[in-house]
Amino acid sequence: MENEKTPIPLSTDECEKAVGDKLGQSFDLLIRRCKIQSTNGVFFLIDGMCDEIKLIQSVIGPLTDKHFLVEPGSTVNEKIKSVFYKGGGITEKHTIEELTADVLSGCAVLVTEGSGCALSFGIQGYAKKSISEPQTEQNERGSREGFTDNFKDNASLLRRRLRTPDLVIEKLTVGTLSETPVLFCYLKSKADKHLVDKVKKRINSIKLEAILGAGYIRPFLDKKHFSMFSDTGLTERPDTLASMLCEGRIGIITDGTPFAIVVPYLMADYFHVPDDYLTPVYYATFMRCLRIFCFIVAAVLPGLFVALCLFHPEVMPSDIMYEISAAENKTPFPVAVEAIIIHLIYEIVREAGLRMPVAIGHAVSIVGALVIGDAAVTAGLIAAPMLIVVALTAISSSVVSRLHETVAVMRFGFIIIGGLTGLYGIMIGMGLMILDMSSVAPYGIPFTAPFSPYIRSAQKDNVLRRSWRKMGSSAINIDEMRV
Amino acid sequence: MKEKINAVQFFAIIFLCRITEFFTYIAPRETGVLPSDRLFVVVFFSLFCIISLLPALVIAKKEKKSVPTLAKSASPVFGKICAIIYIMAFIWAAAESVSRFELFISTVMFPDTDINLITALLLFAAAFAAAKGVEAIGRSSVTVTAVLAASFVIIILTSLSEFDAVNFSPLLYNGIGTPFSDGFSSASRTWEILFFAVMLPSVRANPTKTAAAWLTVFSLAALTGFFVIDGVTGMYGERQMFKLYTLTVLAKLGILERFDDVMIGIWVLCELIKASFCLLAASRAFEDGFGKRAPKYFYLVLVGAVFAVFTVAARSVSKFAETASSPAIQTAFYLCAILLPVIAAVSSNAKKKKEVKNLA
Repeated sequence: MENEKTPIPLSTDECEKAVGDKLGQSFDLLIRRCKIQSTNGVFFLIDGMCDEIKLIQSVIGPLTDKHFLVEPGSTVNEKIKSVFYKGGGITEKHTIEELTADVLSGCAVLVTEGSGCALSFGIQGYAKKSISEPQTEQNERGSREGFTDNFKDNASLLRRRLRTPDLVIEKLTVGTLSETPVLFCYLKSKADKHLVDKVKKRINSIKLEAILGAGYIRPFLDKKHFSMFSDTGLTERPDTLASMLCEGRIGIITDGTPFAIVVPYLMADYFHVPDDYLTPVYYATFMRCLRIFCFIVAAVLPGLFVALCLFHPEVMPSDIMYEISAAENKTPFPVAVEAIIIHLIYEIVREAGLRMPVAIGHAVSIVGALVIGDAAVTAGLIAAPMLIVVALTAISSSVVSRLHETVAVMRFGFIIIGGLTGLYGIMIGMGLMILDMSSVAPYGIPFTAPFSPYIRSAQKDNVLRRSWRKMGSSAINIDEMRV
Repeated sequence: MKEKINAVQFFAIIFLCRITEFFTYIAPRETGVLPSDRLFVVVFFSLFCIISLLPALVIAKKEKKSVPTLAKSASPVFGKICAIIYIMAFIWAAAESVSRFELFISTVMFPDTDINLITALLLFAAAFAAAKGVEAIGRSSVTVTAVLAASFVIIILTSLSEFDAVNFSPLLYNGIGTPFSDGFSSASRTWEILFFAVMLPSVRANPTKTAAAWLTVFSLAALTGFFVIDGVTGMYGERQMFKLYTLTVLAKLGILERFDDVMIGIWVLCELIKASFCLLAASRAFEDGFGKRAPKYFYLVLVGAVFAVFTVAARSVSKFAETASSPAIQTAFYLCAILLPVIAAVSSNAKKKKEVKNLA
């Protein structure tokens, strides 16, 4: 049977054989015999997954010390558990499956003759990326620390920012093969219990074999019906996650991903950045308005440009209209086709920039800027106004980079609809966008809150940001936005 | 459990639906009403609306059911008939609204525009919106209402420089008869009243207060709008088909001159909300009257029906104006707004009494 557990044999020889059978012929499995006073013992560990210094100084050294004496009537295991190894977690395992799971997690596991159980020492120490600046959420004045791939480091980054017993960090294991550790974080006094239970239930219901990143978990936390907007968000910043936990949200940290999932995530969150809280309120408010504007520009501008050129040129001031008309007349493609082509090229260049080796980055930049930009205009293939629109769109898109996936697809939709039906189609498209946004209600909290439904108390930190003095002692709880 | 919206969201939906009519006010149909007399038109309009609203409000307050549900409780056959009548009414309401918009595009804006494509796009978008549910439409409506209010204020403020009191005539110069008949005619096209008969169980609100707020705010907005339109456009406006559009063409603020595009943009959004809510209400009427969930393709059937009515109604302005104000349509409206709810309430009560008597 697949779920059958094998008890740890009393004999260390049999135990060694059982572990060997379970883990196969892995070259990195280390099995080391030792003698603790008069008792035989055997250590199991994976080479490169344990902190060797800790292993020698905190485990093997003291165990083999002559002062390590087991009192009469006591066992070696009891002695180790009572006085030994204060520097890390020590747990008792009773089955071969538990033993191997810990060995594979980087623990050193000791089995002593006749005990029938194993002691697992939490001395993991594998090579990992150190804490570095967040790559996708840069800021000017705030913290420079971002999440790493290691879930324990991420937990400590979060714990350092919220030193309260209220902070709960539960460890869940997901993935039937990968057994990926997932940290489920929330503040007891802030998070709604039903929300906590619901999200946890969804994570526990994941039946995937391997969870290799946060992206594997996110779809299970999202609603079932299709929408361009997600119920959940990602953050690479521990300070952002901490602030969101203070609002009663839930953070999910997945081992192997430097991003935490935030549940629930609202539209307004896309326009907030940590720098907003470190700059004067008038500037923060201005920047938030600018980000909303950039979102609209990034999604709608190319489509609007196409619609105006094809259907409503009279809307533009006459001088600009003549310039655009003169430029467009020289190109072989209709405006809508030109817009689609140039945006496709932009997306290709962007994708190349993301995936290519850093060393050839300059070459792609030159190809993108000179060949596609300058040469295409000079050759009369693309009109200069269209390039300006694309550049403006691309820059605006970078301002709200967290919405890039949504915006990139919607942009093409707007170009097609604008090219077919003009301004009317653009407005219908915008209406659909608003409706789609409004249809999302992550865990009963409207995605468009606190705009619609309008929640007055939340307006102190929405588009307008009030000063810390006026915002009050605590952040608004996400549950107040529930309908 | 079915989704529910709050009072503000319901108010926003029905306000937008009604304001769409205001946007698309077709002057030739309302001949004879002098600018100053619009005050009385609005008063009579409100009066007839209150009368039409009463049955639905009483049912909502006492029975907490939609009219088709109540009719079904009286007799399953009557419930189905009632549902079909309401579905037809909502199809007409959506088609009428879309037709006005398309007439505007094809007569005033761009005669060469392919209105069938735009209509199809608008209706499919409305079906998509209706499928998203009442909450999505409610929340979107609040956003659109906020944009609409801001645009209205801007348009009014920027056109005030052209305002001239000489455009107004003495009160009731042509007597009270014309404002009365115009008020009656306008009220009998207020299909939003049927939303109270069908959609109130999906609203978390006091129906009476919501209806009062809707009627008051819309009347005030219409009065303000007409006051500015008449004061600015005068006799020139009287000869225009789409008065508000004429006002937006005249409005300007420095280099900003194209407020008509702002108005058209808002108009499209309002049309989308109205059409989607009509489709949703039709689907609810089906569910309540037939006692089963509407099939997934139901919205597509509704879209096809609206499109069919639209292609007949929007063939020409005169044809449309004639159809929209015809006695048959007015009769159909009062049948849906007053007669059906009253019959449903009476027959349901009678059945209840009979059941009590049988039990005794």
